[in-house]
Amino acid sequence: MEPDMGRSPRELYVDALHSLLCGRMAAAVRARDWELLREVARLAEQDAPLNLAATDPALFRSWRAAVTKFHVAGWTNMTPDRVDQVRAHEMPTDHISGSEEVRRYDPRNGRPPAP
Amino acid sequence: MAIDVDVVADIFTRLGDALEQSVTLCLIGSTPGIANGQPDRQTPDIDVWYSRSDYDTGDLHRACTRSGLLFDPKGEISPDAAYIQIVRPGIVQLPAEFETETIGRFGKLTVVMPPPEVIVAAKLVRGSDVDLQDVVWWIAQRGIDDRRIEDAIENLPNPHDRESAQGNMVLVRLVMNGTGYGTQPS
Repeated sequence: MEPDMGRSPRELYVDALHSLLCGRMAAAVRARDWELLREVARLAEQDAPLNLAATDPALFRSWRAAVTKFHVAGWTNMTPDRVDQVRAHEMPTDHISGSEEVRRYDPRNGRPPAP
Repeated sequence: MAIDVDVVADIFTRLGDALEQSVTLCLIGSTPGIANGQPDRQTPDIDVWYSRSDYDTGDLHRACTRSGLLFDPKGEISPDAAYIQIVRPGIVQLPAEFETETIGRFGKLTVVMPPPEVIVAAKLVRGSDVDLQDVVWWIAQRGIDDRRIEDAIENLPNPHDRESAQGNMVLVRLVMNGTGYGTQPS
C-alpha cells in the first residue's frame, strides 16, 4: 500500500480514525505512512471527544475501546511527537507538509474542513 | 478461533498430563506471546523450535493424540484445529545459541522460549502486520530497547535476515521507551 500523501485534512482524519478503530497501525508503519501514523497517534492521545457521547454514542464507545486496545497492544509511546521525531531521523530532508493544518483540525470544534 | 492464555495453559496441561516422559518444548512464533498474556490472537498453531527442545518423538506424538492436538501435521487441517508444528532451521533462522526463558511447567511438560529480543528480531525479519503487532506488544511488555534487539539481530545467521530486520527497526523506535537516537536531530 502506497501512502496517500495527497489527503485532505478530512480524508486524513477519516483514514486515521479507521486505522485506530481497526487497530491497523502496523500496516501504516509498513507503508511508512508518517502522516497517517501521526494522526492515529493524535487521535489516540486525544481520546474520544466527550461531546460524541451524546451526538454519536456508538462512535464514542468504539473510539474509547480502540484507544484502550491501542494502549494494551503496546502503542502508548507512539505519540505525535514521537512520530515526528522518528520521521525526522529516518527522512531528514522530508518536510512534514500540512501537519500544522492537521493539528488544528479537531472534530470537537465543529464541522471538518471541506476536502 | 480466539486463543488466549487460558486456552494455551489448558492445552499444555492436557499435554503434560498425557506425556510419559519429561519433555521440554521451546516455543517460537506467536504462542510465547499468548502464553504471556498477549490478547486478541487467533493462531491455532504452536510452533516448536526443534533445536532447543528435548522430547521423545513417539511419546510426544502419542501425548498430542491423547490430548486432542495434531502433531506436526503436513496435510490439510481444519481451520480450528490446534496443532504442534515442529520448526527446524530453514526458512526460519534463529541464533545458534541463546538462553531460554521458562514459561511454565505443566506436569511432565516444561515450556520455554527464546529471550524476547530474539523473538522480536525473528519477527522483524518477516515483518508482516501481525509480526509487527507482536513486536510492539513484546517491547511494551518487557521494556526491551533497541540495543538489545539490534544485538539479537546481529546474531541472526542469515545476512539477508539481518538486513530485513534492520529495515524494520523504525517500528521499534516508534514504540519503545525513548527513541534511542541520543541527541535530537537538528
